[in-house]
Amino acid sequence: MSASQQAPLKPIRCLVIQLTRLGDTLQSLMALRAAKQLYPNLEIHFLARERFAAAAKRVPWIESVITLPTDTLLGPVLRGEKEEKQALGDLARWFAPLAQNSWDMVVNWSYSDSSSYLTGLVPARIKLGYTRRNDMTFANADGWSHYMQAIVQGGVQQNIHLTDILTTQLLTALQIHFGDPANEGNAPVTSKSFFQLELGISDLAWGDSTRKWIGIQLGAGNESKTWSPQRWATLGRSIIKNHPEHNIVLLGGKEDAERAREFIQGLDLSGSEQRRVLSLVGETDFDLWASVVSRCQWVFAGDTAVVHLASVLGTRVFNLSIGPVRWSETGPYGNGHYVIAPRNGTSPDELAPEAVYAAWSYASSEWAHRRQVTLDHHFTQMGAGELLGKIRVYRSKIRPSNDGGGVVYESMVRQPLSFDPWMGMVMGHIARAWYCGWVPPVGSEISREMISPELIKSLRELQDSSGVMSKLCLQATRTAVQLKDRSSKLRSDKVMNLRDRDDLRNIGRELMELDTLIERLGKTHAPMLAFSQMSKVLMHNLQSAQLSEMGKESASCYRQLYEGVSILSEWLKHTLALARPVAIRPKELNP
Amino acid sequence: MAADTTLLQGEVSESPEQQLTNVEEMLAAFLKSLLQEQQPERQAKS
Repeated sequence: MSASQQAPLKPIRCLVIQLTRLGDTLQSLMALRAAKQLYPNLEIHFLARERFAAAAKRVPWIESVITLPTDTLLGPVLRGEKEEKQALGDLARWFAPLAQNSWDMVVNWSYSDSSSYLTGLVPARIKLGYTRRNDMTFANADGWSHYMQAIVQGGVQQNIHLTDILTTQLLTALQIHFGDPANEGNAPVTSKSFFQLELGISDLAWGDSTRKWIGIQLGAGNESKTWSPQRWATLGRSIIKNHPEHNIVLLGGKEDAERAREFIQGLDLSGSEQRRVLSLVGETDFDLWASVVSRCQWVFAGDTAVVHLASVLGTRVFNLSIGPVRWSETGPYGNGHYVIAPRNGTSPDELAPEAVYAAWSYASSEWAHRRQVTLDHHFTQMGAGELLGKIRVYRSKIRPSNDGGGVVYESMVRQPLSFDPWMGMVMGHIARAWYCGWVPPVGSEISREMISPELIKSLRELQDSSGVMSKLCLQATRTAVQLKDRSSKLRSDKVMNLRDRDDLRNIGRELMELDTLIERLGKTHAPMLAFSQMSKVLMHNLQSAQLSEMGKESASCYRQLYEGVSILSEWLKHTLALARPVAIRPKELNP
Repeated sequence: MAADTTLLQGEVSESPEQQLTNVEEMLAAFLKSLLQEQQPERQAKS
């Protein structure tokens, strides 16, 4: 009987722990929306820090929002006004109701050290994410959390968006434990009505509702992730001067007030033009902020929470990817968003406002040219052809579920593929093989024209080390199987004859040597870090205390690594073969 | 290639109420870890 025929469905009580910032909360909400659409009986309780809980509180399908009052709990201790012991009492009182509940699932999406204790503390039948064992040692509860620690947080290039990782992690666990979903779930996860906002009449009167608005979020959590007010003003001026139908609304917190003042001063506009620019900096709570963003046609921003807010609300995003940002993991989610980044380096100064304006003018006129005109042509028409070589531009697209689903970013500029995005694609492919059981054909995302001599050089260098890693993982698999076979014949792990003991010691020594070699290879050749870090995480999470079981588990871990390295080798082979010179038939030369 | 469901199912416990024996110790470690995370944030702000 399918899940849809079982009525009424028993609620699946799920506690989601999200102790990081608003941007991550919004990405979690998108993943939860997908899960709720597929499993309507999922009863979601969302735990967030008080400061970042506003968004979750406005989601009508979230059963309850539990807030961790970090400021009142930790502030007095940090200021020396309270003893840690007293705070522990407060924390215990806060925690007590959580322990009394019976949870079907606890999903920890914070991926932080502190949150792992909380996951360890809450009683639940199923746990996902970082947690703690009874002896308080750190543990990864599932495969995707191995990946988060070893690859995403380990700084390895990979191209699966965080929202997709969270969604897949939760949906797979739900399917394993609660069966197939009630429906196919093709409904979009983003919508203008995602939040049930509480707005007053004055909130709705912030700007002329008959005009088109463009939101600009001036600041970002980190200075290096946004532009100076002067650069924003140059862009704003181009928009106001060339697009009389558009108005600009400035967004930001109280800390952005000075930036807003400098922006407005830098615009240098006439009186009537100035009236088309409105600053709401420092004046918006979550409800007004979300309402304004939902009314905008576009939102311009660096790497900051508004990118995810606009994504959730289905407002198109023009994301300036500058500073230490991995846009393929945390860029805008959905169809038709743009990401623009400097071609070289990551400094805000490398991204010219004129180039951003030219790219946006292409994006905002898609309705007219229907993307039948290339970005190259558009830049040339605008007399900005030379700027195109200095930027990278991507457009987001939700892939059909038959092709693997999730968000992908398609390059809008024909440029050679560099090593990092190539490795990102390979790692994404490996992750799908490990955790989805579905993979696209090797190299389907690349074509011959994308391959540059620099990429070929890097791939040739990688060939040797991937060959060595492959041999090491294969040898480690065989040795671990040997450990399992030898120890399973013993009556006890502790009492055995001298020959057995020596044999097992030798096997153990060989495994340790292989581990050391895997680690060393990761240190000496950066692209191998993915496998050495994953090896460490997997070995840390071995559960069995019995030798034979430990051998079995280790063999399975090394096999996983071996499968990963084999995919990398296939990609290397495929890409190098694509780059080989192709003989052109005389017929083709002289038609 | 089929994905390994034991990797994906998460940590499973049949009797979750009996899972934890050292609540107080774990809470103290949670508090310590929260405080440690706040320290760099405060330093960055100041």
